[in-house]
Amino acid sequence: MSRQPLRAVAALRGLETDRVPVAPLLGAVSARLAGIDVCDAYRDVALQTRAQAAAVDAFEPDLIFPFMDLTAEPEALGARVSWRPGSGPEVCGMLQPEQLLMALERCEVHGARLPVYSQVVGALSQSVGHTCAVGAYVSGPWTLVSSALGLAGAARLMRRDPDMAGRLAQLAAGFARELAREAVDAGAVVIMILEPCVAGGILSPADFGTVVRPGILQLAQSIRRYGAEPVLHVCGDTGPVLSGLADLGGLALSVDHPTPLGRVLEAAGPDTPIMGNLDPVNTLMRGTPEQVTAACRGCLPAAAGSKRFILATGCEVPLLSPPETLRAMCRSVVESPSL
Amino acid sequence: MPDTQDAHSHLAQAIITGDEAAGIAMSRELLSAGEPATDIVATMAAAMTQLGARFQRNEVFLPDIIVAADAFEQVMALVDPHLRAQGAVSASRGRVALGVVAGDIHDIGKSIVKIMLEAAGFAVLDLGNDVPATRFVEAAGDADILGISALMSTTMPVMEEVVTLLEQARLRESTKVLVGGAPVSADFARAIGADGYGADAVEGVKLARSWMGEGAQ
Repeated sequence: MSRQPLRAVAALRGLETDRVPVAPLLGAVSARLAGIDVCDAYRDVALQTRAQAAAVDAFEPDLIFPFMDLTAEPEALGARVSWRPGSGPEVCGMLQPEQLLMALERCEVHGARLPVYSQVVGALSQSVGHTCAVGAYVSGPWTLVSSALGLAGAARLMRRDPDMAGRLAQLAAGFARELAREAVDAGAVVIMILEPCVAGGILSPADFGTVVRPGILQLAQSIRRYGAEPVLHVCGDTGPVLSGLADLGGLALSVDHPTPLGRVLEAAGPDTPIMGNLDPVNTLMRGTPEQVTAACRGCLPAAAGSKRFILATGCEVPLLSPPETLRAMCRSVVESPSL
Repeated sequence: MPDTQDAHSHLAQAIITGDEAAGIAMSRELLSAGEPATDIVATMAAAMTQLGARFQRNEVFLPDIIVAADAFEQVMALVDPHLRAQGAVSASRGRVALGVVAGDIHDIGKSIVKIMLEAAGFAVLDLGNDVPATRFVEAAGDADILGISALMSTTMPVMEEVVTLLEQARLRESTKVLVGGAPVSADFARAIGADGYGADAVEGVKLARSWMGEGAQ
């Protein structure tokens, strides 16, 4: 007899759930709350696992990931990363397109800190995976290209050498596919494709459609084939690319507070799973527990038309968020099961 | 050769489409025809302003801004000696030191502001993320404007600290302070004594331009 999937996975598959699943995208904040050095936790499997497992115990979310870290893949591909005490890593030495091309062609997915993340997934699956779905992040094609070349370098390439831009995006999707496969092998049941670098006026709908969309579609298809649920996460204002995001064959969308849930529903339809869209900074970090509860309940009218909704933060929970607001967010779905 | 008005129009079009070769060719023709270098710069500046407005309306996107800025920069390299000969000493519109007071993965906004400022002809010193107040003040010695971004409300007090330290260092009068970022507001900017608040990259650039005596267009 097959086991009932966990609540977040069930919602993504369109199955009946007893309540709306909740997923604050917990990251380095878990280390801070557990009294673990943030930089150490980014690099150490045991520390990161301990931080995230403690957060699962404390807040009881329905979905947990390792830390969101857009520098691990560029670093593994040859970019330089710097560290500041008490904060996260930052890419400080960008690559040239030719360097990135060669690195992506090698498709070495075990470089630098990448193994930390698949091992954290494996350890979390063992420790909390029976009650909380464990996911993994991979950078989306254009976000990986932008992280490695720099936002300006990638944007320049898009106009000056669109063939190269397309080639890099395609290879980046292949790189993400290999990372996703490793994560699923380690126990991930959800793979979130992080693609913030297509929003906020960065790419035109046409650029998105021709350069980024094919890679995302293939990546999502592969993730399903590996047996996990793909979710595309685009934080910030999706603006002009929203219709393109909604036209990805029903791929689940995770959106941020500048993108109203109602607009996503209207564009993507009720069968597309949607995650979102609490404001991480102004609600989770700056708000009171009462304001967080009210914001969660405010999602009701907007999400009412969705059959597959997960209450989530619009992006990773800020480092300095207090535990009280995180608890309020996770409690809100228990106290109002249907929102 | 097209008449002067046409040439200016073609130059503007070359900038807008990021056609460096056409921009340089048209500028050479204008200089040969005796057009003042300042007029050439004014034409390019107007083209960049037009592009900025179209960016705000989602009619053009970051790659378009980047290639236009590249073309602008190439033509400026050609025109710069003529500007100097005319007595227009500084080829750049002004110097901006830009940084985030504390970082997370969301420094895309700061990167866009940097690109838009450079596209508008400013010389930008990127201080990066997690920049302490003292570093901003050090940079103020070489900048007309400090652009300070905060991504988290808990780090917003650093902005006020910068203003206080500028006063103590007697640099406040000579340095404009421009603040922005997700949790920042115009009210907050006024409360801490900043000179202005940019709700987005285009607004920030408009303010910076107005401070440099050009007036926001």
